[in-house]
Amino acid sequence: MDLAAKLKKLSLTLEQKNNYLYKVVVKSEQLESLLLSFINEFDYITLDSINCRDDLEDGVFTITYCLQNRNRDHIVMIQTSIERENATLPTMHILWPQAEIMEREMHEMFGVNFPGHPSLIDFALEYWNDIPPMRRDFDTLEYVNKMNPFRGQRDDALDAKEEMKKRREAKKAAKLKAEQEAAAKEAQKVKTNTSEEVQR
Amino acid sequence: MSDLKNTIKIFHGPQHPGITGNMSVELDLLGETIKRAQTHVGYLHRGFEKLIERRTVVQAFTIVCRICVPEPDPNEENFARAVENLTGLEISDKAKYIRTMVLEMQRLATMFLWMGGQAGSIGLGLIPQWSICDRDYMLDLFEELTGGRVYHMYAFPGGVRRDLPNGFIDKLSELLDYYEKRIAVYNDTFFDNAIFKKRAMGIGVVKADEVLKNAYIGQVMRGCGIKKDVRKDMPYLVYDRLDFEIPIQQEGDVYARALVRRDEMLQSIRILRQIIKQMPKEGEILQKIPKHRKFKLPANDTYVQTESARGAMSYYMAGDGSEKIRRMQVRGPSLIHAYTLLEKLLVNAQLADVAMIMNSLGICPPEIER
Repeated sequence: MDLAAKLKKLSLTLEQKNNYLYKVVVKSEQLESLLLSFINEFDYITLDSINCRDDLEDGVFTITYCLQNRNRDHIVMIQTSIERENATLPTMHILWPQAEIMEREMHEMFGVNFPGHPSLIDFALEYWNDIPPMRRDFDTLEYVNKMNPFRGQRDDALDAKEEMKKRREAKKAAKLKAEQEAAAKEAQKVKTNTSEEVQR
Repeated sequence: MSDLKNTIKIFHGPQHPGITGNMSVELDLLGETIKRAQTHVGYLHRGFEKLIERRTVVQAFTIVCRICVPEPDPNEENFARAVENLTGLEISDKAKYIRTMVLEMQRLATMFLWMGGQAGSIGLGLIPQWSICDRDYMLDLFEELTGGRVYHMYAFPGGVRRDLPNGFIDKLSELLDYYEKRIAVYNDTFFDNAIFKKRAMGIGVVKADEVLKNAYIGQVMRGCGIKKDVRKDMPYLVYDRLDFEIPIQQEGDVYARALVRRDEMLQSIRILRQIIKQMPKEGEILQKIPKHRKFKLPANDTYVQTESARGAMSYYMAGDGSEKIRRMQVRGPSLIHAYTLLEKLLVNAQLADVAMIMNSLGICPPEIER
C-alpha cells in the first residue's frame, strides 16, 4: 500500500488488521501533525469516529481516530494514548466539523479536555458534577444507591426475617405435633388390639 | 445574535409526533421561520456502552439489538462480526447467506417504517397506515424465523442461532412479490404525489461538497450523487457475490433522499431473490464456541462497518484478554445527522418542515445516547 511507504518516511508502521482495516499507533505529540498529514497529504477527508477507551490499569486513555478517504474502500485507525489525569487532546473541529460533537461527548463521558473547543457544554447529562460516567473508576452501583435510595418501611411493617423465622418454627411445631399425634394414635390402636385379644 | 431579536423559543419534542424518537430541537422562531436550532438529547440515556463493559459476550449480545429500535439487525451483525474478527471465528457460507438475508429483510422493514414517518410528517395520513401494515408482514416472518418481532437476537458470533423454519423461503418469496406490487402503489400515491413533491423538493438541501468532509452518510450522501455504499466498497458476508446497484439522486433535498430510499427497497428485493436462489441447503448454522465464562476476547481491537437502512453503522470493539468486553463504541448515522447536519439545515427553514427534514435524515435518538 502506498500509504505504508509514506508513513515509513515518518518512522511509523501501518499494521493491516484485515482487508479493509489498517492501524497506525502514534505518540500523542505526533497526533495533530499526523492527522493534518492524513487530511492534506493523504486525502483522508472523512473522520468517521473518535473512540475512547479507558485503560485504567495503565493510567491512560487510548484514543482512536477512524478515517476514510474519498474511495471509502478502507478505514485507517490512528491510535494514541494520553495520561488519564488532566487528559488533554487538540480539538479537530476546524478540520472536521463533526469532531465538535464527538469531542463534546468525550469531554462529558471521559473528562478529556479540548482547549479551543467552542462548545464543551452538556451533551446528554445535565449539571453533572461526579466523575465522568464512562471512566472505569466510576462506581455505577454506588451512584445508583446514592441517587435512588431505598424507600424506608412503614411504622407497622413487619420484619421479614423475623416473620420467616416464626413461620418456620410454627411449621416445625405443627409437623412435630402431627407426628406425636400419629404416634399416639398408633399406640392407642395397638393397645386396643391387645385388649381385644385378651378379652377373646 | 442580532438575528435572534424578537424571536420566540419553542421546543420541538421530545413529546411531539413529528420527532423521530426521544430527542428535542430547541427552535428560535421569527414568525414561522427558524433562526436557530439546537439539538438536545438526554431523555433516553440507557448507557448501553457502560452496561456492555461489565458483561460477557453472551450477556452483551442481548443488549446490542436495543441500541436502535427501528433496525436492530445491523447492530447484531456489527457485534457478531467484531467478536469474530477479534477471536478469529470463521462462519459457514450458509450462516453468511442467512445473515445477509436478515439484514436485507430488516432494511425493507425499516424503509416501510420510514415511509410512514415521512408521509405522516406532511399530513398524508393514509400512507403510514398502509406502510405500517406492510411492515408487519415482514415482522411476522421475523417472528417465525427468530421468535421476536422487533428485537431478534439472531446473528450470534459464530453464525446464527437457528436454521430456517420449513417453508420460510416460500413465504419470503411470496412477500417479495407482494412488496414489489405495493411499491408500485406507493409510487403512485406517495412518491408521485403532488403534495409530497411540492413540500419536499428544494427543502433540506445538502451540498455534495460538504458530504464527505462532514461524514454525512447513507441516503444523505447518495441523495447528493455520491455513489458509495459499504456493501459495495467494503463487502462483508456475501454481498460480493450478489448483483445490485447503488441508487443515487443529484438534488440533495428531502425528495431526492426519498427516491433513493424507494430505489433501495427495490434493490433489497432484488438481493433477497438472489439469496433465495443461491442459499446453500447444507452448512453449519452456528460454529462451536467456548462456553459462556470461557469465551475470552484477546487484548486487541477492531472496527467494523455495516450498511444499515440509514447509512453506515460502525462499531469499535476492544478486548483485554478476559471474558468481558473492555470497550464497545457505537457510531451510527444519527449523531452527526442530528447535530452537525440538522442544526444547519433547519436555519431559515419553516416550522412546518422540521419533522419532514428530520425524518429524511434517518435519525434514531437511542443511537446518539448509547
